[in-house]
Amino acid sequence: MTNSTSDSRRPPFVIQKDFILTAFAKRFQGFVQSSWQQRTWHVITALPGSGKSWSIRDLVLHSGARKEATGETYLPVLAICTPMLETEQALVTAIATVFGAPVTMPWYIRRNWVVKRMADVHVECLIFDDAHFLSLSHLSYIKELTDKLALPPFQREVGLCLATAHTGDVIPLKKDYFDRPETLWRQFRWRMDTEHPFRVVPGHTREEVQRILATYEGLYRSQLPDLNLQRWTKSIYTWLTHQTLDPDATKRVTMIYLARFVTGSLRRAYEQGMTDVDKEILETMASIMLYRRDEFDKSDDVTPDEPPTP
Amino acid sequence: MQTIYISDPEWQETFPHRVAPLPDEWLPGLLLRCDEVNDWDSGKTLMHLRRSTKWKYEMYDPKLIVPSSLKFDHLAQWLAVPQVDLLATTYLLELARCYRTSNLFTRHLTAPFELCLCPACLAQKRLLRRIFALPGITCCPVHHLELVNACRCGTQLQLFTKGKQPFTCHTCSLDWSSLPLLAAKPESLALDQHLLTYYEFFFSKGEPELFERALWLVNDKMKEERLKRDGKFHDKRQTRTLGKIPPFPTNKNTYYGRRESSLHPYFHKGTLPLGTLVELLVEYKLPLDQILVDTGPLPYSSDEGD
Repeated sequence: MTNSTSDSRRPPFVIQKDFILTAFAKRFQGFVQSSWQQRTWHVITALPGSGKSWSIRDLVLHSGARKEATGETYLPVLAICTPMLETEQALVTAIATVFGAPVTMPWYIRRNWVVKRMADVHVECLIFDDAHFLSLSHLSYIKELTDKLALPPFQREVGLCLATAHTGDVIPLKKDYFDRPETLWRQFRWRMDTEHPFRVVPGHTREEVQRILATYEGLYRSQLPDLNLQRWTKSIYTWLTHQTLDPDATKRVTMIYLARFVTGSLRRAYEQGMTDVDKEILETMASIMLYRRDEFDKSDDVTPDEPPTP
Repeated sequence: MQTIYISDPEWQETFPHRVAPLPDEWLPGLLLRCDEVNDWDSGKTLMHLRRSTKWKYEMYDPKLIVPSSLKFDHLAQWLAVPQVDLLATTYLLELARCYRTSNLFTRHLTAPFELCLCPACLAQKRLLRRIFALPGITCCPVHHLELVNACRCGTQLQLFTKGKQPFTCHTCSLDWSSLPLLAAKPESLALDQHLLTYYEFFFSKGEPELFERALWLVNDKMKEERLKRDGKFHDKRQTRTLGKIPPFPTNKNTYYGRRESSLHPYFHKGTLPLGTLVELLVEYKLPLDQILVDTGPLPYSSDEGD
């Protein structure tokens, strides 16, 4: 099945960057779509590297956002990457940038301009990615923004999804803001969904991992014609739910580890002139990810592609 | 104009709301519509254009009559429309052909300019027609209304005013579509139609040679009128060049107007504006086909010794 003879004329290995609608992505997008349709407010949280940002990106791309020739613009799902600057101004600028080419205007005008624009482009759902970075100023402005949209003349209710990354059992934003007694936070909390204000999106089960591996087989078929990853599902699942990569013992696989494991293994196989992965390559990759990921590379060797040091 | 989807790279390069030029739209009207759909102050689009292209204020024509220094490529990118569609909202290409230069200024089209508009065009389409920038045009050919140049409050209309809504009076904030609708007189409509025929002639066929011959005709007519007025019309020493139509000159450097004193008052910084020439041709009832007739030598080539 595999061919160990190295072919130096083989073109470089190409990593496929297509979005895979994984089980996690379906679950995550399902929660966001529910918020969009019902105009409810939620904190949606998942482990770092689960694929939240990719899922948001995919949802926005398929939300029907367009600038029409008639001058009408539709942006039903407005997704913003939370700025690291904690000021309200930074958040307003981040929102304004999503609409298109930014135009200079005084701060006090831009603040209200954003509200009108959101109404004009028919925003129905607001998503803040990396919402765990939202500050007190940011959240105050989000409340004001949504309140203004709900009032005449706009009278638009919007869904709100604060997509956060969590570790352990701690839900970001909850303790720091929403559980506090001040009026602002009580008002914010009242606006959140009654039944499911905080949604945790789990990673992939073993069966889901197998389906993703099947998708990878299709994506890399042209480079590794005999690729059969599914037969290694059990091993891959076991490695990727090891305590090192799953410290909370969720027994779920995080997408970023799966993606890196697969592409790393496939690259090695490809560079060795093989047409499928073998046990040795997978074990090497698992060893790197589980036990050697913090190691420094002290090698003086240079790869043949690199120019010699003068 | 194509629809832009959020997956297209153009999304980030275009304004939140785009506008496309309407038929016969004038550039300032397009910029004001862009301001309006994006909920910006009057002149914001123009200001953005000026800032991003680092114009020096004195280099650009604030009324955009002949906006030769405007960076159309930037505007085309922000609106995602072809640059040629934007150029069609000006008379730049036509004037460049008439004067055979790309170094154009307001004085190539008009001397003093005042904003005139049709309130009905504003009410229906937010449209400022390009022909309203032509000197001498006083009526809307579509609505048969007199063009308005002042607000009900008496203020002279102004294209762009910082901090004000687009298409409104900068003094009383009245929307231009609410300005009075005054029916145009038939003779005014006829005169406008006549002027437009002349403009169309120069814009479609215009070349410096044609321009020069038209100048010659005007000058000849003016001279004839002066001689009639002074009672010297029958003196052959004075009238021997009258009625001779000059040939198309071969020397590109000749410029008849400079030699003739009758036309000097109409020149602005060495240039006779096309608007002035057209108004003179119409005033002296000089037919267009006469400009195209090619008989006889140019007076300054045949009568050089006189």
